[in-house]
Amino acid sequence: MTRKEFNICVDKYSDGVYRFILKNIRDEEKARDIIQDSFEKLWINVDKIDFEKTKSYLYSTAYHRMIDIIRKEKRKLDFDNVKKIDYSHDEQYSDLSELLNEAIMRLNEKQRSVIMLRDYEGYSYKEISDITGLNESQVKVYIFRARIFLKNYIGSIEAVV
Amino acid sequence: MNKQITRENYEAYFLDYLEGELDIACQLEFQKFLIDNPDLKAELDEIKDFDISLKAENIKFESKEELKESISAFGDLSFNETAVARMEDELSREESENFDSYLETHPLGKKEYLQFLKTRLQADLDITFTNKSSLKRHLLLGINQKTAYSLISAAASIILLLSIFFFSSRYFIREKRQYSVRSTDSKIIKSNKSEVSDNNSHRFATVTKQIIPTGKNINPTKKHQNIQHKAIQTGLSGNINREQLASLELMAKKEANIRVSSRKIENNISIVRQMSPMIKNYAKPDINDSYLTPKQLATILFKEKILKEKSTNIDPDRVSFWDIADAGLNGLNKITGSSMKLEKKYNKSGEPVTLAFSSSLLSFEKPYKRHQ
Repeated sequence: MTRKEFNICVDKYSDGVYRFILKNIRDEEKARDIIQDSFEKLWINVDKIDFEKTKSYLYSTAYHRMIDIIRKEKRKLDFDNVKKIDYSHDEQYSDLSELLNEAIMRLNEKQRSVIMLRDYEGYSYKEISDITGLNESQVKVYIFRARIFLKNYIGSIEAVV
Repeated sequence: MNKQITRENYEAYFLDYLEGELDIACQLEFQKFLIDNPDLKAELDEIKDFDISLKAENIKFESKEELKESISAFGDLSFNETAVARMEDELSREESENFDSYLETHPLGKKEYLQFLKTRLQADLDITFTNKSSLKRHLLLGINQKTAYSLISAAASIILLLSIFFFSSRYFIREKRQYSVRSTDSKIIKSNKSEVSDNNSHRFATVTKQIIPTGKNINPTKKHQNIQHKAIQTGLSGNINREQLASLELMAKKEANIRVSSRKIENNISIVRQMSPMIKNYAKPDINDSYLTPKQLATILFKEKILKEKSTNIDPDRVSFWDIADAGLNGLNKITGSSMKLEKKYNKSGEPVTLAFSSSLLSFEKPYKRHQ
């Protein structure tokens, strides 16, 4: 991959990868760091990676970097990080996307990542499998469970509203 | 059944007899039992005349097709699995049609499916990575990556060399002082620890005495004389070190440009010229000489190998910024194949007047400022 192609990748993919990471961890600074690291790694391996495969390489690098960060933080905040998988309805939601944003944060990181890759980027199960290192069956299961959870979450909120 | 048939257990034998389940031995025993019990034989004969088997009624499940249809809409999957597969476009065309048909006839199922469709996430396109320029890679002044690395390597080498230079100068300055030769009032004085006692130094001391015994004997009347007088006087009234000796040597070389009216000075300069081989030996010690410090060695190697100076002209105690710039420029020329050049331009009296830079694209000159 040439320098020019690398810069094209920056223009084409940095927004998507940034969005994917930011939606996952909801921390702009960390998301930016992850993007910097990912493109830095891409540049280091620029001679080994085909231009056509850079997108999935970037997503994969960013995903694994993000998982590393989440795990480190989990260790730090072991007790504070207990997610409430209940259906409390204290929040007021103005629209469905807001409701969904709230719902996806209640998914575990793997479910959240695979469903985002599926919906945001339209990746196939195989591609998601390559990016995340999960096998295709696991990807399907995670997506299925995520859909069920989101559907139940939305349904329960709508029932209340 | 090998048990003995009695009036208590005969009913089981009756049933087996009627269904033809008794083996031959039992049949014989059963016949003997009936002979011994005629009342029970009469009972058996009575049962034989009735058909006691039940006939199955012709009852049918009317909703078979409905059930079959429900199963075929999802195959082996549950409704949820089928709904997710449908929204993920994972169903075949036929399966999709079956599922859609099912939804048409099942409003509750349709509502559930619509709920699933709401779980599809939409990317927020307002979120963008604003600092893309920080990620991009730009050419370094139009130089490709390989050349850039070469330049960086060259710069690093120069810095390393400078570090050695300054490092060594700090650590060996004390040693150098021990071997320094001082001259006051035209006398050569050895320091206490000095082992400088070779013939050259004595001869040089003698010569310098002959050149200018005190400096007071010279009364220059012209500008050129002033210049030379000042130079020589400085060289003899202060510390005589290698640098100053080298200056004397340089003056000797440039004597053609020096017009000194004083015959005495002319004679002295000619003597200096005659002595120049000895001065050279003193000014540039041999590598094995005990006077050579690592700093001096580095300086000599730097000037010989990088600046391509003649070994006879090298001052081992002095590396100027000019030398460093010259070396850097030479390195750049080698790497890039260009022909950039730094030059000092001299006036008739041999003093530098301008500094000139020239290349294929750009050239300029700057007046030379001498720091007093």
